[in-house]
Amino acid sequence: MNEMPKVPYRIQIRYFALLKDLVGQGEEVLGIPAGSTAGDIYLLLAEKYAFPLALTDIRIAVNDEFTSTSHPLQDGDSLVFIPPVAGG
Amino acid sequence: MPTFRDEKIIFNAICPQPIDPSECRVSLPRSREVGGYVCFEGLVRSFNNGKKVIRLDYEVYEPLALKEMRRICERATEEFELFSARCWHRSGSLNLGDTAVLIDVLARHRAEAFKGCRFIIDAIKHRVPIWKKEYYDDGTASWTQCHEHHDEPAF
Repeated sequence: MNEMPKVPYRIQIRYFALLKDLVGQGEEVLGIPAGSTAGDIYLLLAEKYAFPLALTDIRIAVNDEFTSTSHPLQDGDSLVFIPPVAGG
Repeated sequence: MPTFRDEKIIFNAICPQPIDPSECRVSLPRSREVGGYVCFEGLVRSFNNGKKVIRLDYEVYEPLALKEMRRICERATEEFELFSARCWHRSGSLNLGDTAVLIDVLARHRAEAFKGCRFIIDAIKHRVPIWKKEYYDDGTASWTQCHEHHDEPAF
């Protein structure tokens, strides 16, 4: 029996600071498999763009609120990876 | 008599233009219960980590930065019984000596005012999604990562 194809969710990712420099743009839209967590997507993109930061070095925001790396993403979510901050 | 908590004033802003400390001072809330006013300004310094800085850029994740600044000010207001807690933080390109951040607080007494202001600047440095890119006199530039923030507990 054929497996049902997974319907990809579309999420928006915004990049800041070091990550934006490495990606070369401030945002992109990504199709992801249903059931992906924010951490899954970070690891995927960290490999693609050679991010020097481990998952434990960043914080995650979904829809402009802090959350955990295990946050399950929904269709239409906005995702931000937050490298160590340096305000003040 | 109204308590400080009833009257607390919290204000936060991300400023693409220069911060004018005298304007902040003029707009200070007034109350006859206030005995202590503390203001902290963070300025752009010419040396950092052994390199000569010539200018810097602040990049801000504004929606979440403003939320987190508000949470920090609310927490400080409760913990130190502040009458007001206000914070302005720059975004964009800054030169040496520019005001990068300005925080002011009002409290009944000086001890609470000093502690509250200190709490806010420390929390901003550790928690608020703002990043600093320093440009050096040797032509290089780098995003500074002076603060580890993983496992930062939520307020």
